[in-house]
Amino acid sequence: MDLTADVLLDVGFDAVDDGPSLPEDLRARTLTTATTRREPRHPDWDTEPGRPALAAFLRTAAELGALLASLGPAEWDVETAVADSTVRELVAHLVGVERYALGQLGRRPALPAPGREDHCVVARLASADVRGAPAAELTRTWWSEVLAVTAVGAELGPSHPISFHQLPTDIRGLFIVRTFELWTHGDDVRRATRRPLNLLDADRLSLMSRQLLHVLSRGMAVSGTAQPGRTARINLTGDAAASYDVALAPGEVPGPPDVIITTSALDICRLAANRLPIAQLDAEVGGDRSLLEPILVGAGAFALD
Amino acid sequence: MLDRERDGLESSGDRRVNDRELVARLVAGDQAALGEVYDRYSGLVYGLARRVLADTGLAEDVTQEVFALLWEHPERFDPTRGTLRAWLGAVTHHRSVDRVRHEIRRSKTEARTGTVEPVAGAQSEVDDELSLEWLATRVRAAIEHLPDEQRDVVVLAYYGGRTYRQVAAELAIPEGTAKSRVRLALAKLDDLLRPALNGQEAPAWT
Repeated sequence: MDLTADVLLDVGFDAVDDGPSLPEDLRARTLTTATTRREPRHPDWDTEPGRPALAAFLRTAAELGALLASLGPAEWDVETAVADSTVRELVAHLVGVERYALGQLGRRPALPAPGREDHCVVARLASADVRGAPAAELTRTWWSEVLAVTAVGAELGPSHPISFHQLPTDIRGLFIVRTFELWTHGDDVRRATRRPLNLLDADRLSLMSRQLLHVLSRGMAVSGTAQPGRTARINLTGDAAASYDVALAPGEVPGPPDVIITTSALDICRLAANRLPIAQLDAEVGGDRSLLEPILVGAGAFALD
Repeated sequence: MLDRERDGLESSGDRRVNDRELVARLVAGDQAALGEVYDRYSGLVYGLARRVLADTGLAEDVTQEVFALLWEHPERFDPTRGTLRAWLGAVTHHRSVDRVRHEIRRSKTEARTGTVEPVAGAQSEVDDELSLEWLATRVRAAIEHLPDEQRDVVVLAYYGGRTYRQVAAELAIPEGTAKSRVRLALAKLDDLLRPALNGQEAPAWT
């Protein structure tokens, strides 16, 4: 963070900020002048349900950027809980993931990484040039790549198909996956540097938990724990409270629930991100309790590290 | 009243998140974000332009130019170097001083020959950066003029992003003392920097 700019605005610009009132039509003229110079984003982003995914990604990226800007020099070399990675290595990893995403979007040379196990390998390969870079340079590079992904995704629209490792999805799905990852690694940094965790807001928590339960049956299939013909009712509590009936095998429609699981939306997202062990999930279970573990294993199937 | 007095130093983290988010939304082509930026910062941009230019029409032109530049090239704002507010202020200051110089040159040319000089603009992007650097240099110099005890709290609070409470703990002083030292330091910096911000000391970028 540059001291100069912040001090400058506070001591100097406040006086003029309380200055003359603005001409009434200046806002309209200014916005018209500006927006004639550049095309707005794909129009589908302005309709539900795509917009919250982009907004969630940008909010989470902004939070992580501000977090990184607040770190002291020594904190960049603190070990995190992620595969013996320091904060610096974790941010380099995120640079690599954004570049991998840009490759999948056709804006960089594509890097083959079809499996979830390829995630860290390809990210390391794509970020080789910034590993060990000074903190400020690394933060700037990461932010620049985030903006590049943002610009391409906004231009192509939420329904544009993309493959993210083993997961065929669209750009809306990509932004949700990336929100999960930025949130998770942001909390990795917060844990390592003893800062309060990001509890997310209701909009993001709802978006992420809804998407998680939407793909749960695929996760169970990937994990080999699918339960054909069975259904779970999952009651999520907290800010993103909602109830979902979920078929426990791909391609099936939910029937009457065989098991009812009540748990926190935040905790199920942490479990899905591999940051909460199954044994530590606080859940009330009614009905067939034997279904609980296969469901939770499936929920964690998309965690990439 | 300063933002930091209204909201406390805790608000600086939120501001940094909001700046990044707003700019990312601009990169995403979100027109609503441009409206939000305008609503938040147009008072600063227009007020500063009017103060430097002493002309409402020219100030309106500069206001439109500044927000159009932000919409066209939001990626030029580097959040690791300062706040969006400071960046907009620096760009406005530069564009305004540039416009003053242009108007002076044009008046002289018209008086001599009756012809109008073309508007200079190709150098503007570089000049915006230079303007920010120029202002940053002035702030750094001003901070060096603060008494040690005031400089310490300002550096911790702004460089380190510390809250009043954290500043007080690190310097082993009461929280109220930390607040009063920040307040005194900002008042002193205000005195030192105001001539530059009012355009009385033009940056030497040409």
